[in-house]
Amino acid sequence: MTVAIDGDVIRLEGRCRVEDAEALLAALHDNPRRIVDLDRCATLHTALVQLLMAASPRLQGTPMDASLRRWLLPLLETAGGPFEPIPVGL
Amino acid sequence: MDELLGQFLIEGRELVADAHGHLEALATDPADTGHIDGAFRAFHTLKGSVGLFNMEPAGRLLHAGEDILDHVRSGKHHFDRDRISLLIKTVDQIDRWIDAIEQGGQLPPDAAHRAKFLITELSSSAPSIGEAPVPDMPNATRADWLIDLLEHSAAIISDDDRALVAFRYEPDEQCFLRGDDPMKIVTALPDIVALRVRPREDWATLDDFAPFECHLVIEGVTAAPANIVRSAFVAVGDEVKIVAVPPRLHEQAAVAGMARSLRIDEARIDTLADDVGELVLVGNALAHLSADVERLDGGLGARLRLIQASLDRNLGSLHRNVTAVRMVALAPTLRRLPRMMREIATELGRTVVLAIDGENTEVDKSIADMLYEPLLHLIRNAVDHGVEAPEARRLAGKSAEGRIQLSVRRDGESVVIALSDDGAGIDPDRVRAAAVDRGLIEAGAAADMSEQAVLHLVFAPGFSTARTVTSVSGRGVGMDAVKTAVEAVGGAVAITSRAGQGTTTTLRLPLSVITTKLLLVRAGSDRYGVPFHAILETASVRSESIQPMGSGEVFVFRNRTVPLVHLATLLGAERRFSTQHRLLIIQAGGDRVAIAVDGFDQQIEALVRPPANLLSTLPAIVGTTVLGDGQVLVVLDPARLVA
Repeated sequence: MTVAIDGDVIRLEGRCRVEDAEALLAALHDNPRRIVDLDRCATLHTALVQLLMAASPRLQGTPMDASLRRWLLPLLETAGGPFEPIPVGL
Repeated sequence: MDELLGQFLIEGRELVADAHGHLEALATDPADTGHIDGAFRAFHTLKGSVGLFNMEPAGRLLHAGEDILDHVRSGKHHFDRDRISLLIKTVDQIDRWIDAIEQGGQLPPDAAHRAKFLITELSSSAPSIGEAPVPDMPNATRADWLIDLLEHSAAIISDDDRALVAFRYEPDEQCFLRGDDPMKIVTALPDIVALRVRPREDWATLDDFAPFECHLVIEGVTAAPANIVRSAFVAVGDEVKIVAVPPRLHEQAAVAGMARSLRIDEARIDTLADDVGELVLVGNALAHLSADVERLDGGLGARLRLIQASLDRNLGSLHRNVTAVRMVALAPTLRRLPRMMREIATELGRTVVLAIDGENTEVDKSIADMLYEPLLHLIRNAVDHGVEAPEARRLAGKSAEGRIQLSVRRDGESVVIALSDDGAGIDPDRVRAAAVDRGLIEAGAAADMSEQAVLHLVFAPGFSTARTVTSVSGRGVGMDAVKTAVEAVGGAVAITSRAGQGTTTTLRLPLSVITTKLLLVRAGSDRYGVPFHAILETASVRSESIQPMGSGEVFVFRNRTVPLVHLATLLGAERRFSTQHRLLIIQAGGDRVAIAVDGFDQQIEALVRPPANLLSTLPAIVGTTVLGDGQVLVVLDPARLVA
């Protein structure tokens, strides 16, 4: 299970693949106020990235995978603006 | 005019000015690589542009100049003053040819000869430079996406001095179904400096969101070499554009600013401005109507007034915006002056530098358009009559090189342009004598005139004190033409001079010409409008402080004795007597004059029409405007009224 719903929180866990986009869309659509938790997310397919951009839910946690952490949060924070990936090692 | 040619005349001159800017900077610091690159780019782009027109000699000449710059860039040559001044000569020649193309559609017959001559000079300054064919096409215009990306990420990438590569990846909508993961491809790139991920169109709502279609455009800048970037994208090659980022990013940002602006036919803006002016009149009329309605029916009136107030706000904003659209920086108008000044100075054997500041001040387009000729006249005069010959300057203890300063600044509703030279100044006695000599004034009157008023005689038609007639000036035209041109747009001229130290001519022009800000004043039972830009200040004085003098009256204002005249008397109306005088202080013929009015009314923003029929024969009338209540208001030019 990579899109897990836990009350008001949607947890993205492990390797989130393109097919998970439908589940995430449904979860956000049912309750747009749900928070998306990224703590246990290892990889995130572009289909889910763009869905997070479109829905812009509240986020919590940071992805466990370092290379994902480098770009995902700055990307979601800038909402379409240019951003600088976090340097390796931080 | 052919649209392409029109575009070339604008851009060609911009490039000429750009090249000049870089070359002049290089004259101070010949090793500045930024300016070397800048000059090279300007030459290169100009060469591409002239290639589109029948200007083959210009193409060859620019090619030779570009070669020199290229060699300097690569370190094969170094710059010296001679080379730089040759390149400035080259650019001046191109500028003259652009003028020729504008006037007659072709280069003058001696163009090929002149090009050859200059190319010979250029190549003898750098032996390996020869003639080379001109490419058929101008260099391709830079991609809009790149300019936009660089401009927006300037803050991130500007500090990065590595060679950068930019890419734009627009994945196919169906790419997920093929198994692509675009962000995975992109984030695997080494040395990413900046990324920008945006939806191709605005986001759909979640109701309509298609989760398995890719909606993104991904752009980025990386410090990885282009071949690495290309191989990273090899599987999706046709969806990606990869470009090396040109050096000197901050200049790219300037280019970006230009690319995103829009050139609009002036006539369309004029029509828009006229319509807005008319709307302002309608708005004024509605204000009066709603006041009338409110007297008859309070409730209805209040509702109408609400609507009227909202209309008023929107009209105000529309008016401000249209006025802003017509505002242009003076820089393009001033751009050709340095070259003209160099030519004039060479002809007269003077060495002069022209410094310009405030050239980015914005004025109404029509003001910018009319300014070139008057400023050129003033510069001619300054070089010819102001700045002394080098030996005379040395004797006077000055540097051999004269200095002319052109300063532009905004002052409330006006723009003030001052041209100063550090020459000999104007001798008032010579002006007096010349004016009497030419029958402009009586000898007795001349002796009574203040020094300021005497200086202003140089603006009188037919005045010239040049001892020798040169081809540059001294034919008695010039200063009066300047005055006429400036006054035609509602401006004023003034001149000050100090013997041995130089002369300053000041042009004060209205900022906007669509509508004019007017002060309504009363004279007897009538009301008149006076443009704000014609008023230095307003004052109120008690009648005791006014002294009779001769046949008139004066009073002391800011430690100066100022003559006072009554508007009602000037206009042949009945004067009202009161213990308090309300005064307009104005500038007329170099002196301050106070005009007493019977009262100040409100200030209005009005569309002033030129006087028609009978009124047009009266010089003191600028025009008329229609007030909200339908009354026609006569707008006065106070300086002409007291002249």
